[in-house]
Amino acid sequence: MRDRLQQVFRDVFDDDELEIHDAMTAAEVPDWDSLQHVNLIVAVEAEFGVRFATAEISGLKADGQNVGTFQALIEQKVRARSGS
Amino acid sequence: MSFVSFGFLGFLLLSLAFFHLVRTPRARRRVLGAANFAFLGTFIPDPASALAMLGFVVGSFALVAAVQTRRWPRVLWVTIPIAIAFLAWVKRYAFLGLVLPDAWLGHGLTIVGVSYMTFKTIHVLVDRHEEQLPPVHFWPFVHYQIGFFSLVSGPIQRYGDYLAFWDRIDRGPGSAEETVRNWGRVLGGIVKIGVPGALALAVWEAAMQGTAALGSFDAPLWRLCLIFYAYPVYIYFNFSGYCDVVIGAAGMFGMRQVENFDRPWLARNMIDFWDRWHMSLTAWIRDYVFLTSYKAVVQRWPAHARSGGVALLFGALLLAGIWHGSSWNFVVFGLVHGLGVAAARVWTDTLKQRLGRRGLQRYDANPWIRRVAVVATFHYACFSFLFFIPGLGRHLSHLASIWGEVLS
Repeated sequence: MRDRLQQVFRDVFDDDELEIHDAMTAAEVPDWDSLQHVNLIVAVEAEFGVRFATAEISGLKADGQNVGTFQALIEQKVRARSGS
Repeated sequence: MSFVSFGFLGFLLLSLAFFHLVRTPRARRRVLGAANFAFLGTFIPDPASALAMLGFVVGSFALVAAVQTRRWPRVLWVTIPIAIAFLAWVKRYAFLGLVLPDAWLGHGLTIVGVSYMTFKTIHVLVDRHEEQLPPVHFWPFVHYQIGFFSLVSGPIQRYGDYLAFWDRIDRGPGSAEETVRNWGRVLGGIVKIGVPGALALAVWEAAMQGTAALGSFDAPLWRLCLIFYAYPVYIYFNFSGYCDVVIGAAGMFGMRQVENFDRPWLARNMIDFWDRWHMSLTAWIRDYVFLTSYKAVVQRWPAHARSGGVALLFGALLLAGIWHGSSWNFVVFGLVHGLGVAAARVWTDTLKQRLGRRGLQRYDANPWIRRVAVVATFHYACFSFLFFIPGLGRHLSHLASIWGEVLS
């Protein structure tokens, strides 16, 4: 999961050196604005076959949210989709 | 009821006293509910408007109930347009006169905070439809809509946050520090509205009268400058003062209300300005207008994502401008803000292409570039507020005079 998510981040932000980690927030990635946030969500939805609600999309950039919570939400949705 | 009045302070003290006298959450909900209705009552001018208010609140809950039945997947395609159509009819937007007979728009109804209640309704409809909210019940929804902490001009609180407060509803701040901070916020807000806000308005009105007597093209530059700068200053102190009052008042009852301002005059471009000005409206537009539409563009036309994003930013701010009022000048206000955010986006993209990522970071960190950008953004925002007041021709005439004086 982490490797695939890292590749999605690198593709969206067009940066092959980007290393994601759990505590990383949107504020730490200079290009992570509203447009790129949606690009990232669409790319994640395509990669993992999940769908985010409107409140989830905006909530992912809120205070207290980071790559770790983002990945946890993706894992939760993947589990829900596969019914496990 | 004016927020700068002994009446409001008395109302707040009385509500707080009863709130703290009763013991159970159920009783506290009743006290706060009675305070909400009493406050709302002071804004209802006639029985017809009272009926319209009742119709709006019950009707918006009926829309939410329709979503909650989950019988129809496309229920938002009907419920959201109904909510927007009612708002447009109540506010009698000027453009409706082009398509509706005058008799339909001559109703004379006044519903305080109707646009904020519509924003809240749309948020609840969407989030409930997407199962991001628990079941919505009638009385919490009614008080979410008419609560005196956000009735008149927001902030646009999210239902989940309100419900967390409404369900818990304890006795408010337990520490003296919090109490002092909340009262400081309320009194500070009243001072903001009553001193610098009122002073800026008086200066603007005097400058407008003096200019009207002379005619725009004969008025001295200093008087035109007062018109240019005083009104945005008035709007800022009046609106941010109001927000301080309601955020502080909410805190006294134990509710954490959302912030609406973050030093907007330090913004370095118009996107940054909207991240700092009327922040709860910006967040609402971002979530329910921009994100949804931009996501659709990225999914359907990925090759046009960049240009589509710029166009949608423009459209979102144009809508925000139109929402601010029912006359044509607000369309121009929206156009100016839409152009401002679109230009900021295109400028940033162009810099990134020319300078690269590291170059853009150096550009953003340069203190002199920042100072120039802040001053330019401040003047652009002041320019936009020329169109915040009805009288488009008069404002354009003032602007032409300022340019004439500056260039002569």
